[in-house]
Amino acid sequence: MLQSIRSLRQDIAYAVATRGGVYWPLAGRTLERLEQLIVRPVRLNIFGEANTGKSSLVNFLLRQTVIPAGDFASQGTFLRICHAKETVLSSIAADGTRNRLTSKALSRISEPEILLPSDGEALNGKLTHDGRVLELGVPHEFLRRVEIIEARNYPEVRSSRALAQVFRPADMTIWCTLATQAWKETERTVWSHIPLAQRKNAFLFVTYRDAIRNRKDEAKIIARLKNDGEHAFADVLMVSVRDAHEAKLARESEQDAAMAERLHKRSNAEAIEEAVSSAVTFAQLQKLRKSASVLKRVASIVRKADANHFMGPGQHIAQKLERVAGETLLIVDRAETR
Amino acid sequence: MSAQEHRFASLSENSITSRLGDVKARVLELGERLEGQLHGRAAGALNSLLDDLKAHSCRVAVIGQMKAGKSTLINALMQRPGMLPTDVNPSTAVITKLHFGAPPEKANTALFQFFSEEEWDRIMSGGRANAMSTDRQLTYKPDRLAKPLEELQRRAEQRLGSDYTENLGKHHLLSSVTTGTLERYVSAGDYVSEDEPDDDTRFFSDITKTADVFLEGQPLGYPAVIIDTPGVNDPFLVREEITHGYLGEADVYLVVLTAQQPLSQSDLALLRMLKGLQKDRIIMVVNRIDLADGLAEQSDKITAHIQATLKREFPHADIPVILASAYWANSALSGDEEELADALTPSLAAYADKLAKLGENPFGRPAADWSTEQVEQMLYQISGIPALISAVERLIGHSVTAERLLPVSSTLGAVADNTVIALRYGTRSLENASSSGAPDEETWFRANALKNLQKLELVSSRIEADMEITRTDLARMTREELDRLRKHVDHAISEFAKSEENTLIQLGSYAPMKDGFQQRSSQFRSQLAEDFYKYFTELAKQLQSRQQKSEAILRQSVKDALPDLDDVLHFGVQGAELPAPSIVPLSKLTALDTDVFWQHRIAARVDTTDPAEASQFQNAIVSIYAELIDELFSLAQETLNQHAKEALRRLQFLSYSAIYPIAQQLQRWVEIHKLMKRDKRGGSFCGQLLATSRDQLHGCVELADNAANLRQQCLQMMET
Repeated sequence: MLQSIRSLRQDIAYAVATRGGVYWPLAGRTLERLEQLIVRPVRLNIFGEANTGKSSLVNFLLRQTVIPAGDFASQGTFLRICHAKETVLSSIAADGTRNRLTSKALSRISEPEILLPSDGEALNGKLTHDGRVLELGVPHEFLRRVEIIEARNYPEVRSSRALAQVFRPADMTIWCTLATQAWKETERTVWSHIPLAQRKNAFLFVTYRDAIRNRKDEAKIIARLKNDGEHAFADVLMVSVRDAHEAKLARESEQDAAMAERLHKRSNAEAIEEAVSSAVTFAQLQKLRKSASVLKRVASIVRKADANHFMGPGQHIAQKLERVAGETLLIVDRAETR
Repeated sequence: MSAQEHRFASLSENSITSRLGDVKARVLELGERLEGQLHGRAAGALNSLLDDLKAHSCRVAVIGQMKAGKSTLINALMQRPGMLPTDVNPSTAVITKLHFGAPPEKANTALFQFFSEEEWDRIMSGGRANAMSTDRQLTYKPDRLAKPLEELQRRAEQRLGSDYTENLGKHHLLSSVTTGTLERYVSAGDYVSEDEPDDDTRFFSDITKTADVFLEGQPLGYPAVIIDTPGVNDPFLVREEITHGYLGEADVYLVVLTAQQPLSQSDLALLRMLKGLQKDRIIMVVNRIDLADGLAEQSDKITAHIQATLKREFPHADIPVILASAYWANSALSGDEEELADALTPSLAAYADKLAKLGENPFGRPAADWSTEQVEQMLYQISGIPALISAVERLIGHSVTAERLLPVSSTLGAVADNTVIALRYGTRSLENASSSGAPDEETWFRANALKNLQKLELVSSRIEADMEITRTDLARMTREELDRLRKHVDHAISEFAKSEENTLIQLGSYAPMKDGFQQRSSQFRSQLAEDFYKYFTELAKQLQSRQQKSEAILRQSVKDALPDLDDVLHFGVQGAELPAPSIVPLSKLTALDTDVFWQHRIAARVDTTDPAEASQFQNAIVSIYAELIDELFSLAQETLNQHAKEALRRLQFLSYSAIYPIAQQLQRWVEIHKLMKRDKRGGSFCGQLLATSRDQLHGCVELADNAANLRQQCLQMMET
């Protein structure tokens, strides 16, 4: 699809150069943005209060301990994890400028005093950054498809400008809540403040499944959370992301196989993978659906651009655009019936 | 439920509270002996003082976020695992008071009070939040609250039948209580029966307001009421306001956190509400340490993290932080082998080892060859429950001594001193009479006894007059000072509202000023609280000095009437200190700040540049404050009235304590004289009286010494 779009864009670029006017450039810009949309990975937001297993979830998804989980993970900071050729940590200031941080900073990423800059003030001469956003680049294939944003919420966060910058609409969201204290009013409040569009493709992960001592209790908790229907999660899962991650590491290093198996079973790891992959698929399909509608729109713009030229390229390009849109929708439909 | 044997000694032999019980018993004994020396009104007043002390118990409130493990912790604390119902979903729905040290005939009974119709209607109409929105015809409908309310009503109907409202205002008194009964009255429960409910299975918890359960034993070594509360920060919002309403009422607060999220923002919000209370009342309990990773390494960090935050928030308070696992304690108590095996993890062993090295675990690291009992003992020790109990004891010890034992023993001492003075006066008169060798006892009697009785009548009327002046003075001072404070507060609020309105007009809408507004209104509240305390301290000083003035006046009155009295009137070390009034209502605004309704209401109201609309913002601020300030002042008024009543009672009682023994003695003389005249008995009238008077005096001197001793002991206990 991307290739067809690129070639269409060349056609349009030629038309822009030779014909001018208002519509051709508009069509060109729209297609350019569409290309960016298609190229960029889907965005996964991981929300939750402190110490609810968000970092462990990231580690699990990336199959390596990229973020050392700490007991006092800091609040009010955002960590964007995206693909890079090598592991690199940068801080992003409010104006968008990026500063590369040292590898030493990486090892201290979970220490709150580093990540809690009080309005840009230097903290004890330690590493500081003036934004509330850290960006971690990791060479991992998963990140080519999915960009992760880990956010530690607290009530003030929802008004912060940094938040608005970072939280461009997410394609999917996972909210982590503690099994032993699941879904408090403060969590519900923050959730209700996230725009509805971002809450669509969302899962509630009830973490620390290992702390719930029998399956009957687990069912009761899940029943309560599902009953509170207004927050509309696609599903509510009880999981132990830390166990899942450790089981995975243990399996890969072929250590104590029995322990790995036990942790794996307790962690509900398969459900996690399934939920994430279905969310990614759903997000990708959404993106395709959106692309199809953008293509149709561009087609109508192109028709308008060429309305007075009987022999112009407009009709031909529009037809091509519509065909690509149709093919895209077909892919979506086929995937959905599967 | 029969009293269970306490399996683990949680109180040491000479614990603070058992010493407290000891001193209390001695104070009561002294009081009773002194009462034997007094008659009439003085004895009555002393009696009610002693009854108050006898019935006194300490209130320990357990508060925290939902699912912090409050009920489980209480079960561990009272060594009755499973007594209070617990669940994996938020469970406690009712303020539950567990009374320990009540009269034995009450043991194992329970009283469940249902909401009155008025209270129920108030809850159903959305409580304070909704009342404020309808008052001001705001368009925002708090549907967030509507849903839980509907659910509550639906559940009450389902569980109790459509005529459930007939139960409102009533109470149930049960002669025996089990966990099953408690579940039906205090647990939210998920039980919904398809069958027609009968009386034995009905769930009353939806309409129950408070539960009072009377139990045997004294887990804290002193009569206590342990209060379990519904957790805050529960999306099922209905009960939170009820919990807030109880925040001002306890002597000790256990704030329960969970080790997984030690001291979150919502915990801090709760603590800020307690800020207005007297210091040294709070203990932080970090529960669920059994779930912390690498506890042995983490435990110090957890404590340090919490202490650092507390230091920042409450720089002047010294709040103890206790790491605890109610799960471990209950496993140890239940003795369930399987549970014990589950609990014994490598992480626990490392922690046990660490505590052993610190000298906090005499049992050491668990070994494979340990008996079940050894494991239980060790588990209970490292569960932190014994440490928690001694921390609670320290607070109870201090507050009971300072607020009860010291004032009572000081008053008893003053009574004993005054009685000694009076008796000495009488005895000396008799000595004078017999040594003067008056030829005619009859003459002496007429000259002294009757004349003195008349004098006493005069003193008594002067005391009454003095008291009346004091009463009016105290009332006037209180009124004037509160009026002055009220004016100041009202002015400050209107200035604040005006300045916020200006900011709103400048910025054009509420959204950009929201953060600043919250910050400024929190600063404004601390300023109000500070002013409030400043005024109150000033007023307390004035009232105190007014009482001292009264003491001097009363002393003079007595001296004028009875110039031969060889010592002035005693009033003890000091009267009870004026307790600081609760500023909990002011803290309720903190809750309002983070309250969704309030923000929606403001936003809905004022996203406008129209100055006319903006002025509604000002009005909204003023009227929201007004309600809470009314509450604040009525609490302050109540505190002051109570204080004045007690101060007057004390002044009156102590003044009469010097008069009554004399009157009593004289009356006895008159009676004996009459008897002797009737029987025409001979012998030395004075000689007989002198002997009994000397005995009585001797006894009272001993009581006065005793009282001085006790007072000294109280002071010592407060120092340690």
